[in-house]
Amino acid sequence: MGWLALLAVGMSAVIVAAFLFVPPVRGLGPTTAILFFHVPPAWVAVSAWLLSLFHSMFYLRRGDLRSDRKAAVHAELGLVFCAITVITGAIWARGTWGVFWNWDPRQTSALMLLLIYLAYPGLRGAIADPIRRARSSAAYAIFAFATVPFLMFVVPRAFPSLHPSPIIGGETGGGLGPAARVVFAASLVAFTGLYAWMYGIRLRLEMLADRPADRDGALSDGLAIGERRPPCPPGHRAA
Amino acid sequence: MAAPTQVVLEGVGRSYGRRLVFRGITVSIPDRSSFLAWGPNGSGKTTLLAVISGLVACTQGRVTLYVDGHILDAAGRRRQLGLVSPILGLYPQLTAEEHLELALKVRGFSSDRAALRAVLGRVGLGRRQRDPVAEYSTGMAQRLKYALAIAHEPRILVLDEPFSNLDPEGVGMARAIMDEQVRRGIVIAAACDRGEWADAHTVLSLAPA
Amino acid sequence: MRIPSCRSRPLEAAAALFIKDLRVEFRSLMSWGLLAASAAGITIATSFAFGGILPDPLTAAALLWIIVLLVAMTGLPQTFVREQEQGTAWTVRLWADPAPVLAAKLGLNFLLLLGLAALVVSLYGLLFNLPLAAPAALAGSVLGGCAALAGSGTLLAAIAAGTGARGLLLPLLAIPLQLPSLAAAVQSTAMAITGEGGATLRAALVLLAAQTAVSGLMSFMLFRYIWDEG
Repeated sequence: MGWLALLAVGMSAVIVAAFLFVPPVRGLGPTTAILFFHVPPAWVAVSAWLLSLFHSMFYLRRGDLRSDRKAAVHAELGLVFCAITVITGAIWARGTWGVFWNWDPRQTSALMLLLIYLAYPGLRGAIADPIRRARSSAAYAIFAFATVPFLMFVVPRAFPSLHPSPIIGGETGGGLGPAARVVFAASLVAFTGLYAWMYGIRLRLEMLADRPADRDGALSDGLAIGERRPPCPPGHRAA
Repeated sequence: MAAPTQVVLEGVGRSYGRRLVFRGITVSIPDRSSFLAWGPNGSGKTTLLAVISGLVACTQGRVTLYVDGHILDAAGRRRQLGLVSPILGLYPQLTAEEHLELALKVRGFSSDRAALRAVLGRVGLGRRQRDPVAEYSTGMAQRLKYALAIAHEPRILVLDEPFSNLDPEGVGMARAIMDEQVRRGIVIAAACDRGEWADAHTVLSLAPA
Repeated sequence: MRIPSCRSRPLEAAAALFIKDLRVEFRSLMSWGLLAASAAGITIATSFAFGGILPDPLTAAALLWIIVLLVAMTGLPQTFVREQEQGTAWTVRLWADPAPVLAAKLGLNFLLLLGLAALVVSLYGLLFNLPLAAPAALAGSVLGGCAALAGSGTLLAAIAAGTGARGLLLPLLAIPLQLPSLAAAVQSTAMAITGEGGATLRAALVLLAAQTAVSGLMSFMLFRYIWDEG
C-alpha cells in the first residue's frame, strides 16, 4: 500500500506544480500546463499498445491464453490513456491553433489508433470461444499495428506533398526550462505508476475470472464473474 | 522406431473453453487395420476424428501420423488422408465433377476426366455427375463425400458415421471401400453403435461427456 | 483406379480455389447482383440529390469511394460467411493450405470491388456527365483504390465472419484501418477527374500500392491463425 500512497502524493504534486510553479513555455504560453497531462499519457498509451502487441505475438507463437489476457488488458488501458491524450490535445489545439480539430497528422494518427483499439474490445466481445477470440484479436491487433503506423508515419514522410508536417516540432525539446523538465519527468513517472497500478488490478480480475480453466482437465461448473460459456462450432459437439 | 505406417494417439484430449470433450486417449493403430470409436451422442466422436484429421488441434497430448516411415506434416496429411464426416459441407452450387476436380487440384494431384468418372462411377454417381449438389439427396451427398475422400487414394481413411443416409446398396458400397482400404492402409471410423461395424480390429468406447 | 501423380503446386491450388469461388458467387444469383443493385441505387440517389450537377471533383471522388466502401462492407465478408454457413470451410481446410485459400479470396474480393467501382464510375459518367480528362489516371486510381481496400479488407472480413455477428462487425474493424487508403484513393481520383496531378497523382498511386503490399503481406502472415481450427 506504501507505493500507492506515494503515487497519490506524486500525482497531486505534479498537478499542483504544473499549474502553479512552471513558467509559461515560449510558443505555448498559457497552455503550458497541459503539456504535463498530454505527452506523458501519450507515451504511456503507446507503450501499453506496444506491450499488447508483444503479448499478441507471444500468444500466436506459444498459444498460452495468459498472454492473450495480458494483451487484452494492455489494449484496454491504452485506450484510456489515449483518450486522455486526444482530449487534452484537442484542448491544446484550441488554445494554440484556434480550433479543436484540424486533422493534423498527429491528431489523425491518435484518432485512428483510438478507433482501432475501440474496435478491439468489440471484436473480443463478439467471439465466445476463448481460443478463437484470442487468435482473432491477436491477428487484428498485429494487422492494425503493422498497417496503420506504417501508413501514418512512414509513407506520409516519404511524400510530403500529401500530408503537412507536424506543426509543433520538439514538444519536449529545448523549449523547456529546468522547472518544466522536472515536472515533466515527475509526470511521466506518475502516469506510468498509475498505469502499473491499474494494470495490476485489471489483470488480477481477468486471471480470477479464468482460473478454473487452468487446472488440467478439471471441469468446473462454478461460473466466475464475467464468464461466458463458449458454444461449440457447428457440428462439433457430437457425432 | 515406429512402424512404417500407423496412427499414434498419445494422451489426446480436447476441451472447448472449460467444457472437456474427451481426454487421455492413447491408442496406436497399425497399418492394414481398422479402428472403431463408438459411443452415444455427445461422447466426442466427431471431435476425435476431426483431431486425427488435423482439422481441430488437440488441447492435450499428441497425434502423429506415419506413412512409410515418414511423419506427416500438414501438407502430407492433406495428401495421405481422406475424411468422410457430417461436418464437411459441400457446395450446393457446384457439381460432383467440379467438387472432385477441386479436391484433387488443391491437394496437388492431377485430375483427368477418365479418373474422375471412374471414382464417381464407383460411388454410384456416374449419371448425376453434372448436376449441382443442391439437387442431391442426403444419401447422394454422402456418396459424393466418399468419392472426395478416396479419389486421391489416401493411406488413411477416416469415416465419421460411415453409413449415415445410405441405402442398403450404398452401405454395401461403403463396406467394399472400407475393406479395400484395410488392405491398402488404415481405416478409422466412428459410430453410435458398436454393432454397425463388428469386424473392426481395434475398438474404443467413448464415455459421454 | 490409377494412382494420380502428385506435386505441391500452390499457384494451381490458388487458381482452382479462385475458380471455385467465382463459380459459387455467380451461381448464387442473389449475391453480387444484389450488391451491384445497391451500389447503383446509392449512386442514382446521389446524382438525384445533387440535381445531376457534378459537385467539385474532390466531393465527387469522395462520394464515389464512400459508395464503394459502403457496399464493400456488406460484400467483402460474404464469401467467408457462406463458407461457414455451408460448412464448406471445414472441407476447404481439409483439402487446402491457408495461403492459396487467402489468395483466392483476395482475388475474388478485388474483382468484386473492381466491378462495383466500375459500375459506380460508369453511372457517374452517365448521370453526372463526368468529364474524362485523364482516363488512364482514372483507371489507375480505381485499380489502386480497389486493390488497397481489398488487400486490407479481406483479412478483416475473415475475422468479422468468424464472430458471432458474422459480417456485421466489419465496418467497426475495417474503417479505421482503411481511412488512409480511402484518402489516397479519393485524392488520386479527384486529380484524375480534373486531369491535373503529375507528381502528386503518382505519389497517391504509390501510396495505394504500398498499402496494398503491406496489408497483403500481413494478411498472408496472419490468415492461418484466423482460418485454421475454431
